[in-house]
Amino acid sequence: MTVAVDRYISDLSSRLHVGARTRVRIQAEVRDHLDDATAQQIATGTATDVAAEQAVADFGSASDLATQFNVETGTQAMRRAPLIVLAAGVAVFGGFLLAVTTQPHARASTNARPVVRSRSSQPWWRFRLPSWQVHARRPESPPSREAGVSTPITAASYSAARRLPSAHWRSPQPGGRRQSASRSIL
Amino acid sequence: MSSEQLKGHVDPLVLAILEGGPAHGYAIIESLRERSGGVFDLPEGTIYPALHRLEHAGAITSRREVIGGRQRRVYRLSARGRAALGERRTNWSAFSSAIDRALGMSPA
Repeated sequence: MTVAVDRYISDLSSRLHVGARTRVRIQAEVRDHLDDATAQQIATGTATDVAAEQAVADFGSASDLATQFNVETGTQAMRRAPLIVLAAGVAVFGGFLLAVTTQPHARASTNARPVVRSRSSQPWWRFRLPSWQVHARRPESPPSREAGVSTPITAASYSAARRLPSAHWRSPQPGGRRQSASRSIL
Repeated sequence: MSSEQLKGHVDPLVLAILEGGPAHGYAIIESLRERSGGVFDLPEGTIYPALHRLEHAGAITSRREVIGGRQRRVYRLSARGRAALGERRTNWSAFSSAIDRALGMSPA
């Protein structure tokens, strides 16, 4: 164990951008190699410190070596990236489906009267909101026109609570305008 | 010969050395120097990224073993590596013949 070898390994390690396991493996291999090279130099009659310095010089620049390892590790990570993205996408979509299918039957306020479109006229992409959104955002009173404008998700939450994917809410005030909940959230 | 000239050829050279039997990193670089008659004077560290790359590709395998009383990582050629080596030899033969002909070193 010499100062030159320790310094080299420390320098190399500080430049590596690899996982902990790979880092330990690289450090061990480099140390083994430098110890062998140093021992061989010593066997030819070279002083220990000089032999270690020579072994380090023959091994090459720590910066260049770290770059090669980093490129190699980065390339491997890039090869795995599409798989990771696919897995994340499947997980998100699965979670969304789970949230939609486990939505409980909730009752909206009695003041609000939804006008329901026929199911055949509803576009496929108008999903109900997940149950946690419905419960978290349900207000004490049904949404008025102003409330619908300021908090569009609230009106949509009522629609979701009634299990009506694209219900339109009629304002409880006389002469109020009809609001489209589905339009508010899209 | 500079390491720049050897770029792209390190992998098959390593595979060819491991074809002769399992070896650790230091032994591989020593063997490479001997086989080339000292012409291939690479920085010794160059061999390790190549070993990691080949192992990740499944061309070689490695495990820690005790050699001379010390723990060393020893590399072995896998079946896939043997096949890859055969392919590289065929490609190299065609490539070097073409270069020889282009340089006028062998009859066309």
